[in-house]
Amino acid sequence: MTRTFYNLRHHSRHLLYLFLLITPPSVLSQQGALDGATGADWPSYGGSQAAWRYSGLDQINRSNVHQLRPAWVFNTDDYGDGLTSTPIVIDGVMYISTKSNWIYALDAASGEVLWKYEHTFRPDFVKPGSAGAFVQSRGVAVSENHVIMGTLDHALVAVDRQTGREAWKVYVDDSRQCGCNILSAPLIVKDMVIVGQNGGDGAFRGYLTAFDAETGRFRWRFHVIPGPGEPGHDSWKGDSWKYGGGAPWMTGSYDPELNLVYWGTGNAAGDFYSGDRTPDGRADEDGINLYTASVIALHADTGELAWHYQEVPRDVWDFDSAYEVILMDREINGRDRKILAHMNKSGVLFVLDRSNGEYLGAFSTTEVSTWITGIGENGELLGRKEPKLGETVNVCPTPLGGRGWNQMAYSPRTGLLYSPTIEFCTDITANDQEAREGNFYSSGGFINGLPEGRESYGHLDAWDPVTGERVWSVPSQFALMASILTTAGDLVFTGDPEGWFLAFDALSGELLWQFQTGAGHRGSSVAYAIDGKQFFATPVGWQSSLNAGMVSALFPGKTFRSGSAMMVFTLPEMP
Amino acid sequence: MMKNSMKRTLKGALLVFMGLAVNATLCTTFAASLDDPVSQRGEEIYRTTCSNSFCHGPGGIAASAPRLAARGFDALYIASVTANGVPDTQMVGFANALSSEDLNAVLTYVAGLNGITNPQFTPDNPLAGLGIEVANPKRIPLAGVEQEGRELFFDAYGKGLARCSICHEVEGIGIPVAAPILNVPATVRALRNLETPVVQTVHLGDEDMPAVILAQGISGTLFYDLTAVPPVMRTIPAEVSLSISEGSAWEHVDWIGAYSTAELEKVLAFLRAIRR
Repeated sequence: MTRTFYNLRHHSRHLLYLFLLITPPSVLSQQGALDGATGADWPSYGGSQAAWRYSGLDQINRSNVHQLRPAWVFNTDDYGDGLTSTPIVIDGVMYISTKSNWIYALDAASGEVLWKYEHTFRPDFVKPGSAGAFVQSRGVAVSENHVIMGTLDHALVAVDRQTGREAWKVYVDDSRQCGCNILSAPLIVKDMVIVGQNGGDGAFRGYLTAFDAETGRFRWRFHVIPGPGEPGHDSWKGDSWKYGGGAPWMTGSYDPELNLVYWGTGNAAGDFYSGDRTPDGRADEDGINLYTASVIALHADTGELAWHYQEVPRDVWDFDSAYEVILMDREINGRDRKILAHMNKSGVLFVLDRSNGEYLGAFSTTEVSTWITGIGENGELLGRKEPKLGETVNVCPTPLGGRGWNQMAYSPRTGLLYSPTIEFCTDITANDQEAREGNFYSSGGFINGLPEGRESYGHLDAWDPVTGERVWSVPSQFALMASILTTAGDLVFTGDPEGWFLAFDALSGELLWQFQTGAGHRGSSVAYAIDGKQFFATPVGWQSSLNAGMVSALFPGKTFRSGSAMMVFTLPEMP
Repeated sequence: MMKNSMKRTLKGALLVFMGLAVNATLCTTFAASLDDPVSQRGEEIYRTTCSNSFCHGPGGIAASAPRLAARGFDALYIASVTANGVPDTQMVGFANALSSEDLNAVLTYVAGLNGITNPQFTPDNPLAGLGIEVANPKRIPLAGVEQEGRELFFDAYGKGLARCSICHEVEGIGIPVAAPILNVPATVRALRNLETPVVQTVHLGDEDMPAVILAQGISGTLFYDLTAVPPVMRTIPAEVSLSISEGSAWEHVDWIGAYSTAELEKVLAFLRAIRR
């Protein structure tokens, strides 16, 4: 089998070394700087609550990664739509969720099944006309006593960590009314579990809800769209606030020092037409359709809004800002700053002060970008190329995203963000669809295509979030739709649609190791250790419906194989 | 320039979605037969319900779900699948989700996409005479205060977590924490003062909680914890000490406080209407 990851562009190495001469002291030496590294465990969806997807383990590194061998393989027996979850590993036990909302607890050293839980769905839980049939599970959260998972019928369920027996279950809403469901992994914050939901492309009002992790009891709810009388409600026209979307459909972050929870929010609905939701006379710079397409910071104990930053005011491209929020401490202009890095579907990466939401900078990560002509000095979007009613407008990137929902990774050793970028364009035709509660509410349609004149449609990049410099880039013929993992061994891992699990040099982008796993990658790999021995685990199985199906369709003749397995690698035993 | 290139690429992409080439001329011919008001209404329903990128795409050209246009479907097949869905797929049934008028319109539209220009569905009961059985009856049409009461019962916006359907399942919507509503209280006063003997008190550790017991057995106790809204379904294993006593401090009136007297009268009117 041939591999379609292209060779490294070696010229980029020189940029890297220049970078290393300048920046490591500011990256590494801050006293008391936020530490988002994982150790022997991988306890949270993003690794740590700071969402770095960075393992502090370095037993496996650039010098020996070429010796990696399979340690064990586990097939979930839940086939057909891939394995998209991030495994959680704590105290030698791995917890994974599958597309049918099964949870497995595995011995992380051997792959032996310790217990299995199968969620029982409510009858007819999919609302006709909604997007609620979207089948995935992106992972679980693990509290002191429970493994907690959101479900396709919009419940949050907790099972006992030791036995797998159900402990509590709460219906966050009725999926048959809201047309929503929960695919993302919840986030543990203190003694709470916080979860959002899918539904942002529906006539639905998104929210985050916090529950007591031990009992499942309600703690607080934050509606992404302010209700009557609340600040920001006037950014909506008429009753459009009821159906304006904004679902926070991925997993957020938490800064224990500031006691703030950070989350990205979904796009405004209907997706491609804003005429029904834009108040007369209100300007984009005042914030339109708050707090959709935003980063929000909430007080952890109450769910009250601390600050917000709207990245895409009056979104008309389906450019959710729902992706992960990466927290880090960096020196900027000679001053130590608590910052966050956040990319939305447009492929633009924003850097904000996470203590107050101050805009610090932004840059585009896609090579083909036509939706705007630039970003102003205060973060405003310049030269917006908007869809038009009844007309077809071509824009890049697409509603699939300049990057999929799978996450970037951040290494404090290099100071770089590692991101999988997608270079697609789309023809959008907008309409003035009527909103119906819980129904799909796209206000138009889109059809994806490949940009003209390219021979590769994805790339793995290393970005300096402070300077906006792309330090290295490795092209891939196909879209990369698996998350990135980086380690203290200066390695960067990801998988591609053809099934290659790949390890790169975090400093140069050089491909150091690869293994054909037999099916495409759509999940998120992790690193952990047991009794001092380091492992890498990666979900295997191309997620074949919806976005991944659309991607597959762009490459006739190519087969991106599905499946549902966990593959684990380690170094061979010394003789 | 980009747009033309995109379209060329799109053609290739669509071929994969469809599994075979679409005859563009055929589609155009069918589209020309969709000019009658019923088909136009059907197209509108289709556009808001079926055409999104996760489903069948605009004009039935396919997106993530299969193509519907120019497939050679007959009227019976179209009606059957639209009404009841396809088992073990993401295609759910729409017989209960659409009014008879809207169902007739969308069936007529999809039939038109397949070259059936006069499918002759019965407008007020499009499934009549086709031998198609639908599992559950659809919502009965209501008006005035009864319809207002229905909207209040399920009001996710004004009432949110304090709405009736958080604990009551009616017309196939809501969480069935409480038993089905068989007897509608005669007055708002009676509704507020509703006797709730089914709510008991669970003693767990040093905590007492109002609860609706669902099951008790050798493996443990299953109950709804009514301490907070929404209720939590909890399972306490048998090896954990737990006791249950009759009655509780929980009162129905405390959980319907988001509704005014006038609103509760409308809710009662709704509940009576659907019991008729």
